[in-house]
Amino acid sequence: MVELRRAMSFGIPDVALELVLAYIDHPRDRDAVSLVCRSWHRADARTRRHVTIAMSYSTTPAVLARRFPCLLSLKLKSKPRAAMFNLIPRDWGGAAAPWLARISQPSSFDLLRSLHLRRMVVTDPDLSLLAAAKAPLLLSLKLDRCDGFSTHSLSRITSACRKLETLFLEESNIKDHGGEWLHELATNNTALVTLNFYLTELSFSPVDLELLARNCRSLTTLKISDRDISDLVGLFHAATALQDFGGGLFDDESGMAVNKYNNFYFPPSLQCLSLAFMATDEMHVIFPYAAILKKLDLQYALLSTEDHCQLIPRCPNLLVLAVREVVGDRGLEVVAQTCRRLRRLRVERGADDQGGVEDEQGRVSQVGLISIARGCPDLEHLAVHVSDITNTALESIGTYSKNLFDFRLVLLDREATITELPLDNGVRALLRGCTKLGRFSLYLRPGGLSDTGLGYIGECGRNVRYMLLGNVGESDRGLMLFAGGRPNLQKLELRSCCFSERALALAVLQLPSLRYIWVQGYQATPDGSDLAAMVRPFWNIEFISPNSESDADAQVQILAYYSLAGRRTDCPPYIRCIPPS
Amino acid sequence: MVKEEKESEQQQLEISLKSATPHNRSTEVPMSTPQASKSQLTIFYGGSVCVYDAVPPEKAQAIMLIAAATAAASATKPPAVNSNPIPLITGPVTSASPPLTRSPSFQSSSAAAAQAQIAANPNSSLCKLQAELPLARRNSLLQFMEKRRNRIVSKAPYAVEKSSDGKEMSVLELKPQVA
Repeated sequence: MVELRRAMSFGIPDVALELVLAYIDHPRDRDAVSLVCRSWHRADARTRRHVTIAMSYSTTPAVLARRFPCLLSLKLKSKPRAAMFNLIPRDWGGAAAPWLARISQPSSFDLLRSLHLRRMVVTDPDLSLLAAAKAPLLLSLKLDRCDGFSTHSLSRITSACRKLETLFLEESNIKDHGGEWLHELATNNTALVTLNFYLTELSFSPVDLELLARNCRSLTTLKISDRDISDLVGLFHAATALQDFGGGLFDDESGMAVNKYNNFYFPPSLQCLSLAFMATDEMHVIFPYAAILKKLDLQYALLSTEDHCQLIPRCPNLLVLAVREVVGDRGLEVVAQTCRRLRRLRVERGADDQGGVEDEQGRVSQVGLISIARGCPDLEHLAVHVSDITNTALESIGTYSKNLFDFRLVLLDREATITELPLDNGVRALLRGCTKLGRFSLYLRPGGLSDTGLGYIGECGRNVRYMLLGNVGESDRGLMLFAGGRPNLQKLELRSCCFSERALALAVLQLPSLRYIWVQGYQATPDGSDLAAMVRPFWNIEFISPNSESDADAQVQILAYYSLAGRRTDCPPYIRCIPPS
Repeated sequence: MVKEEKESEQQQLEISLKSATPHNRSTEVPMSTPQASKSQLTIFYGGSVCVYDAVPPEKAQAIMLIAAATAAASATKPPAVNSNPIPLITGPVTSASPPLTRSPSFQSSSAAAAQAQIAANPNSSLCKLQAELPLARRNSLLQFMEKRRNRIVSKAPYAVEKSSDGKEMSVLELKPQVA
């Protein structure tokens, strides 16, 4: 029997196999390994370290526990991405309870030390369970854009999990009962490396933060909620290993005789900064550190176009830059000249009112895009909101940005006329030129992309796994051309398109790798009946009607995804599963 | 947008949409079977609806051709049947995938679930008839804009700001979706 087993394992003993598998991490490689034979499947199951479940309803906790009992790290995501734009109803679903209940069972996931929940609903009882079951082992807890819990259960976590190296709460909606949780963390923990409660409204005491910095000598990343940074002087003197700081805020110092931020001290190890409400008169705090900065986030700053042109030339080593549109084409020109090694650039949308709060020069167009494409050849991630665009700009990106992996363009609706539409040729050139592109997002306006252009996307975006398309195409023909190009899309999001329900259903059937689709804004039937065309095994279809609580102009949504768990049982009444049981 | 009810089967030229009912709102896409009153011509334009009875077919044809030619001239594409600056056209009659042309969505005769395809002429007010959604703002930026407004107001509550209440609404509104 032993001979037979060894023969089936190609002569490799189990122990050796597991040692080799320890070097294989990529999920697709692991997938291939697990399909070789039963013995390799078991070896993979025993040695798989991390699993990401992109859609929590695609499987069940029991299935996960059976398949990968020895997991070290788990990431779960649930609500559609659109939840970050307030488009998903609050009670849509995404409860983490079943997962945390299973994880907290005795002899379950004994090796789990890292948990990341993104866009899920987590309650206080859920977290208390987790704290009680996993406290000694838990090294990393990320509650990322989650909601449903309070600082009470956070205190349980921070007092019980004393080995915590990462606590990440960014943009979660947390009920604030005081800063006790931070005090617990500061007094019980010496291992913390990352603490992030950025974009939460949690209150805290700077004294606790300073204590934390003194006790945790390895504290490298600290991102906090709003607090005047002049209260944090003690913190910055104590946090000698700090590399990444975000949050805080500035008081309005314009017109003050002596600026209280003069000679502000940040630790010299600082490489990444995100400072909120930093205005022209406070910008100088960055100057002594600008030359070594690798990451700069000015999305929540109060700078003018000219300010950007003054600040950015001091930061030649930037790898990551995030700004709002106020940077302007002028500012982007400066970025292109200075930040030659830039890898990630985000130009977020600014305010819409003219001349009020934002700069008149603060608009980005094809001019800025072309500068960036030419000046920053290492660009991997580019997300921009533009007020004007041409095919040439997109062609430039296709020509110069050869390392681009993630491209996102939103054409704002400020200008009545755009210089050059449709963008068919530019889009084709970009997709053909950026061969490494894996994520592609294009949000235009009617007339921005013809049916032919939409066909180009299907045909040319071969390696793209995720797409968000808005206001593209002119008719169902465009959608069919797109699907007919057989792109290897895994995840598709469509918004504000003119396609019929039936055409959508038929297109889905043609996309060979599609496992997830979300649509809002299309020619819907009153009850989603045309979606019957895409009914197939293991394919969950949710037809989400706007309920009475939601916005007046909220529109119907389709959410469909592969699932081994069958239809979900926690749908609110305004969600219709197709086919109805 | 010009619509016409016809009983004739010459769909090659007039790829007509469903007949218009008199109660149409200009934002709705009408759907019903061709009516008995075969010479009624309905025009949707700029948010208003005009209905003309007893229009002879050749006159209706002429009107449609004029509209098509004008639309085509101002659009950048040639007025072929398949590429559509011409608002008339429901969808590809000569589509590459045959099942579609037979699907209810594209047939004017189907009453129930059929939806009209409206070609998106960039210069046409038709675009409003599409399910065009306002761009949605990212939550984190919405919060930031709100806080910034509060700071300005608390600093100078009685100042006459250009970013007055009326303008503030434009920031609060959900706008095009962020990438």
